[in-house]
Amino acid sequence: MQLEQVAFRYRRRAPWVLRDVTLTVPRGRLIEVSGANGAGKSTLLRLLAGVVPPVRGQVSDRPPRIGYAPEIFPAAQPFTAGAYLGHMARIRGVDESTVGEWAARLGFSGLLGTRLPDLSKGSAHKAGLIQALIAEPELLVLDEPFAGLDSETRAALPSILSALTAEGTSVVVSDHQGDLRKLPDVVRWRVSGHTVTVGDIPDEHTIVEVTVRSDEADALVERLTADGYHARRR
Amino acid sequence: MTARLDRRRSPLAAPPLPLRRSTVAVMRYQLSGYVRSVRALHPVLALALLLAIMFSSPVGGTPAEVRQGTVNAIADAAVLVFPICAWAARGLLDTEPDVQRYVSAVTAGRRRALIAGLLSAYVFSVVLALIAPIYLLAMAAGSGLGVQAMLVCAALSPLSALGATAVGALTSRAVIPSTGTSILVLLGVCALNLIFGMTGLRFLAVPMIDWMRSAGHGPADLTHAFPELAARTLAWTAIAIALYVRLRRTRP
Repeated sequence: MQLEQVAFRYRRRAPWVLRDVTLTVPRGRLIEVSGANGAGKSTLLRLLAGVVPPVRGQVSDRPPRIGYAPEIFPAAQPFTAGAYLGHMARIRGVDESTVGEWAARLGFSGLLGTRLPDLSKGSAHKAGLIQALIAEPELLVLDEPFAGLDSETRAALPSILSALTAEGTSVVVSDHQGDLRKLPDVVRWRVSGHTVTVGDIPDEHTIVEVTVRSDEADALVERLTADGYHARRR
Repeated sequence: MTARLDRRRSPLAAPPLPLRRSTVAVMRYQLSGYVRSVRALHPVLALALLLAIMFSSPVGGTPAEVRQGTVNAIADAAVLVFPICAWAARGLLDTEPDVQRYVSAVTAGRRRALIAGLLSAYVFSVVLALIAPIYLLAMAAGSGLGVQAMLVCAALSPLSALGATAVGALTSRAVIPSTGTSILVLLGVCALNLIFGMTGLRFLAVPMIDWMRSAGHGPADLTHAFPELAARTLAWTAIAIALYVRLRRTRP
């Protein structure tokens, strides 16, 4: 799956949230998305999941089966957790027994009969994770999946995600809590300055934006690169 | 986990869910959520109030007078039920919390979720719209109204619900996030439909005033005018739905 020169803003005259984002989502890898509050992490995840289309640029080769768990699960719905997840399974066309399997793995089995509005924040978050996981996704997009989880599930989730990547699923996770730092081979994306940088930026480094005349841009990039900086034209 | 993967990627894996079955599953979820919520009661109560007012003055007289009276009342009911159906459609589409709408868009696909939403809203609206004329249709049949005129009378409410569903969709939270503004727009469109229908701008409106006029001239006149009235309603609805689909492109 690829993003090519993607730009997004929520309204016509609103400021751009993301601009000139060109990325490849590697197959079967775990990708950690980091960035400051309001940098555009959730928007990037929505673009990847297909919740919103890009305003400019294009997204290609998006896999057909995607799981998406939002940062805050919408618990204000008139269903029990089991009924809600049953509906999601039927929409997906997956066997409803999958709900029970994932509920057992995340310690949620005892809450399937509880009404969604009565769930605690962490339990509601688990319902959000289960509806994403039952999809048997080829791309799994999780927005702050560790927030509010109990310690057992929090400890179990990284290994679940690792197992999914081993099976070929691409997993994109925004994570403020740092729960994925111990895992090997995690691809890191950093959202800042309305764009996304691949790879870690060391703590002693930062990004500087320079506005320059179009006909001078290439020369400036060459000069900065010759001086040992990592520079690119947007 | 491995077994799950094998099932998913094996050539013998189950084929993808047929489009129609999946759309029906989304509709079941949306209708179930709406019916379980208090929101569904609002248009039902409004309809009950409308019916109480309508039937407070019963139609009577000779069979010919009953025929004319019931046809008039059916056409009036199809007009009066329009804002109620628009309200119901808006309420159904707004029952899903915003973030759940994002989840549904990923789960079912954006296009399928959008189509299922419109179909669910129409199904609920048309059920509401058909409750209003049932008794009147029975009376009209008893008074000897012809089959063709009966079918035309029965089709008015579903036509009204069609236009109303488009108005409800255009004023749903995904398109107009502010509740106050969306109610104002919904009532405004309903009022403009009636005002335009009485002026030279009636080509811009769902032809509700025209079907009331035709009904007033008698069942034969209504039957004769029906194809044009239906075509104008369908065209109006198609334009409104196209606008809704266009707006939803950037409003998840």
